[in-house]
Amino acid sequence: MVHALELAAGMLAPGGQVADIRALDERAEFLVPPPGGGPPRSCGFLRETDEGIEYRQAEAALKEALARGVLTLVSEQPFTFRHHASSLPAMRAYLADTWTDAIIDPDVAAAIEAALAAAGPGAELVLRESGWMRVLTAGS
Amino acid sequence: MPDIQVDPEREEIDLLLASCTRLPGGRVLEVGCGSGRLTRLYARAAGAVLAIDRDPGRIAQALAAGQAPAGRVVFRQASILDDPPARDGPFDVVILSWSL
Repeated sequence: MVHALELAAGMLAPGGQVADIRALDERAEFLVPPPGGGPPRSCGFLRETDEGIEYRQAEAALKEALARGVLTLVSEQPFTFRHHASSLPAMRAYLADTWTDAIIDPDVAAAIEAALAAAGPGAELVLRESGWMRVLTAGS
Repeated sequence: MPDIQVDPEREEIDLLLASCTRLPGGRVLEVGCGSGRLTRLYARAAGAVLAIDRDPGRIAQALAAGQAPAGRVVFRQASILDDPPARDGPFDVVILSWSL
């Protein structure tokens, strides 16, 4: 991962920027907002089979690149990243295609189904995760 | 609603455009572009985009999706580690798109 950062820095034009966009090492949460508005109902969290190892490796690589002067931090900011699905099967299919180590545990799936049923027609399922965006320049 | 909507609140793209001052009109390399979801959102602001992903299936999806400005975006199956596109650079912005 550090090598990828070195390569990225090496391909920058003078004054160029690296934008590192990624998820934080926090569990993504399933929510069902009421169609008419109001606070969403929490249905539990997505489980990942690697238990955050990749997140921690990426963070360690960036810290090493900063410490070695490969890159210099310009700015960093968190943001919320949401995936909206029309149903639990739609969410399952989407995750199977895009998030290979994601698991919806049976108790979470049951809570989602119950929340969607209680919310009624037009309800949607939201998977909310925390993202982090850093802008960096090549180190001196 | 469509079956899936990703970031309809636009928090990611708005933050990217606000944070990357070199992106407007610039040459951009996006690493880990996947199906080009984010690429299509910023491509009109950029001057030229090379979007790479090591998964040929994702690149096929990106090409099939269209919607990227013609002549401004190139999708290519490549890995920054195994096949770094240095000859296409230098770049004003390198986006590591959920890929580090």
